Amino acid sequence: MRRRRSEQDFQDEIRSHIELETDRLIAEGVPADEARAQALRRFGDVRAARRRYAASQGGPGLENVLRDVGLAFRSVVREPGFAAAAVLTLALGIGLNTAIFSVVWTLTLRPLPLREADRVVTVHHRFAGIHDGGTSWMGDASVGSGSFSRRVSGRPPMSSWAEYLEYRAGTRALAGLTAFATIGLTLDAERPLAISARLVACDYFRVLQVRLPVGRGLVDDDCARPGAAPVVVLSDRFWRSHFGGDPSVLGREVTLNRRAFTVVGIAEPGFAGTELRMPALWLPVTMQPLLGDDRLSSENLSWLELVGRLRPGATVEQAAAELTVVAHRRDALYPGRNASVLVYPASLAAGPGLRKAAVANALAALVAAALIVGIGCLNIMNLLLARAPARQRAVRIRMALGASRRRIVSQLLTESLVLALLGGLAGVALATWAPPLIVATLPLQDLQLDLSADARVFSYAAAVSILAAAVFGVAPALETTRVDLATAMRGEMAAGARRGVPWLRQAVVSTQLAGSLLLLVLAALLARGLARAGSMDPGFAVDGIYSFQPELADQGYDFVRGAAFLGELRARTAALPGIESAALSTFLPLGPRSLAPFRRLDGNAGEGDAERASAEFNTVSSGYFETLGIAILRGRAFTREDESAAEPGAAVIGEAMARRFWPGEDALGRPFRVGDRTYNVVGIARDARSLSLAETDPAFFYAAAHLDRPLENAARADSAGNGRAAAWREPPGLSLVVRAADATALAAVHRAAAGIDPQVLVERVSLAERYDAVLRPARLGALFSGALGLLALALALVGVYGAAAWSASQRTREFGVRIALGAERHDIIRLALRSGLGPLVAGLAIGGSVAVAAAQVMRSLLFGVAPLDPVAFLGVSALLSAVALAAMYRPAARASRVDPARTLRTD
Amino acid sequence: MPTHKPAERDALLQGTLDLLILRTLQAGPEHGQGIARSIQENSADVLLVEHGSLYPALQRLESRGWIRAKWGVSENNRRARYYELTARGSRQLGEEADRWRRMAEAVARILGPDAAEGRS
Repeated sequence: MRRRRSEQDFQDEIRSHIELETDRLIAEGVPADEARAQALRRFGDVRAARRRYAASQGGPGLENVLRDVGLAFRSVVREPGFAAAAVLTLALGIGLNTAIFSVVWTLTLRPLPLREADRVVTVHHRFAGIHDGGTSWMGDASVGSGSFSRRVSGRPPMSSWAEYLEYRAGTRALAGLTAFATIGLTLDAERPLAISARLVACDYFRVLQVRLPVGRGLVDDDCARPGAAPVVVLSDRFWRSHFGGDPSVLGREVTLNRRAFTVVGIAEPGFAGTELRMPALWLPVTMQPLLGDDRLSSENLSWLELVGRLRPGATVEQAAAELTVVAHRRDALYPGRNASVLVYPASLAAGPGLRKAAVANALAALVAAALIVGIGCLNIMNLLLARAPARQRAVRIRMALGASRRRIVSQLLTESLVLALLGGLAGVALATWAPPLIVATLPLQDLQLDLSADARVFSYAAAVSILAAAVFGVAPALETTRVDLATAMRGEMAAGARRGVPWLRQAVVSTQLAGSLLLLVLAALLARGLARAGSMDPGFAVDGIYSFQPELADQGYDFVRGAAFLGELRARTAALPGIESAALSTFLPLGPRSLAPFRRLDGNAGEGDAERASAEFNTVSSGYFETLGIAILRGRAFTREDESAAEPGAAVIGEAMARRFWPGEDALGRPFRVGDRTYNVVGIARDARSLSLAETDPAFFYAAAHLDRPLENAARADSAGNGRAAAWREPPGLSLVVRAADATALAAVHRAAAGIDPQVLVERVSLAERYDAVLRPARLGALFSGALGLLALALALVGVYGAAAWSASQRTREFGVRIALGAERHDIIRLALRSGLGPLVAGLAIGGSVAVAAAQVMRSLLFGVAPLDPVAFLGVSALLSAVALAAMYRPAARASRVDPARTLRTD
Repeated sequence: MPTHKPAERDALLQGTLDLLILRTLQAGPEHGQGIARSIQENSADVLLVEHGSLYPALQRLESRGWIRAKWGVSENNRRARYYELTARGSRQLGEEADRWRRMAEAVARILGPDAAEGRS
């Protein structure tokens, strides 16, 4: 195409024309003062010519774009209500979308806040046959298939110390390779304090290029041999919060797990390594054997994360290939081991399994957010469609004057785009403000998550906005400019012919109604669940129940000393005023619990579903049932004697478990085996909801706690072969559980613990708070879906009203004829309402079926309310139908008042 | 529905006006005002168009590549945008003119008897 002419050039031409004509007229004898006026008259309307010229230009010349944007803003301002509704809808949707995207982007792909972060890589294993589902193993576990099994403390793709040293020696593509593991320690201060620490290889600070404003980082000598250097580097935040930012802390000693460490440096502010959480301090990985079971010498244990830095010019592929060769050398040592090495650019979601899990979750969240934008777009599209007939008249005039359809469509689309970009801008603001607010309400203070909107986040929001504009803008623009000249000439618009795209409008209305029904039903279900949860009896006391968990392992307690500490703590607590009852147990209700395979040991062992059954249990001492107010229906509760009895141990089983495993029999006195221990049923307790408030425990029992000998850990016995000895080295995993008359007694319990050993850190958990936390997702869900549902409903009603008004206006002539032929007003109203019933019923059906599926998924948040709860489903459907019909009524009523004489004359 | 009328007139005018412009330019390059005057005079003032309505037509012909334009200076030293026929434009003029004559003949044949009666 030719170069486009500028508007200025065209104006010059017109001016030149007028001058030439004036000259000519003067030459023909017209007086000079009259000539110019006559020239102008002959030219006709100069401004109209200019407009027609612009209209004929078509494509998006710069002047056109600017004029379109100007027009768009003017029309946005002309209808502030519509604009505000559209922008707000888009802001919510795009904001949500962008917030999720910024979290996903930060977790998975965004370069870490490190120097030359583009060359930092993570190094992980893949063992053939071992799946990394992103699960972390808290203690030691053995995972494997076939002949090779891998010990894991963390996740399978991690490395052992021996492997790390081999990789570091065997790579040329990496300029440096370092390793770390995160652990929890007890810091001795005036009061013991739980801190998060990171064991690191001594080149850690060098490889990650961390500056140390005060002191030094770790040096190779610190890692020369196990236990060589008890030194720590503090994080800037910890240094400020616990040492007041005092530089003289260098050289001072801190006591971690009862060992003295010397502070040698302080890391630069904000440095959290490659992880989400900032630790309080870093210490040489070679100190690990002094802080717990020796892991350095375990050559087949996954526990270290590896992070490397690529040499300039080297690629991740080169590094992976080199390290896989090294890994294969070790395969020869273990039959069945087949390891390869994966190298990825470093991001917060490190490790292939974790990355996959993060991306999958993120995609699900993005799809949900996209749905919300989608519903919003449908709303706006519906509003635009409703305005289409009104705008068609103006559009037809412009097209008749020579403007091309493309030109007008592009102008209408500009209007949509302006709306979408305004919404997107508000959305980005929302997305920038909201996530830090959300993060702030979560109990994750030491999270290093930089969610600031960068170029990538802005581009994403812009892309979503443009896409949204396309979704809601194109159909109305085409509909508005669909001027069929033949039809227009015959004047059939006014004759009520069914033109346009009624199915599209109806589909939009149905979808909106379906969306709001879905959200409102979910909100109603959650609200009913919450009401149920608030009034139901979980089967145990909640108020005044606290557990105190002493971190005995950090202080080097073995089983015998640990049992003594717990026994003493229970005795001292029971004597305190304000403490009504005290006992020991592994868990509190509504938290984690033990699970093991179940087998009957009396006559009918192995019958029915008992073959591959399992049971969940909590190990508790005498006094537990009294403390938690759990009723014993038959038999007895535990006594002090049960705490030292030989096998079989005493067990109190729940009613449901008795019914399930001993159907039609008396379970009392029966023996059974769970895991590798045997029990005798001494009592039957009333069913509680200690696993989930949604249902009573299906197969739950209480095992009597022992303070005279440890429970064996099956996994450990398998892997190490010395499980018995290991079990004696660790303290019993029990906490103190009390019922306190008032909160003032709690401080006395802490004092009692400190009186036995002031260095033991004791963490307190309130059952009431935990109960509240269990309800929180449902509460938030109800609030969220309720609010969104009401918003969706409000917008849907606008859509319903618009559709009804449009449909009634199309049928004015028909109604006029009917009235002229004697139809009554209510006949007309019924007729007008009937056309809106289809979309309403379709919307209810679609929304209802999706809600049925969604309700199944959130069964656990309903606290026993049936997922198909008729009150929620029918109530919301009735409400929705009523308001939708009310919205349709007004246009219908207006249609019934048409003056037949006038409608028949319209032509 | 009165709104369709301008469209009709435009459609009617377009073909005619295009043909007249091309024909005028066959004589050599000319500016807009000159074209307007020329059409007016050559049609013996029968086709008196608003000069302004000439420009969208010129723009259309230019974008189709039938005519091209450049700024020049008129006899009396005014700056003016001169239009001239391109090769495609003269081919187009031939076709348009043929079509126009065929149509004029056809119309004349239909009108024939009446016209003859009128003359006799």
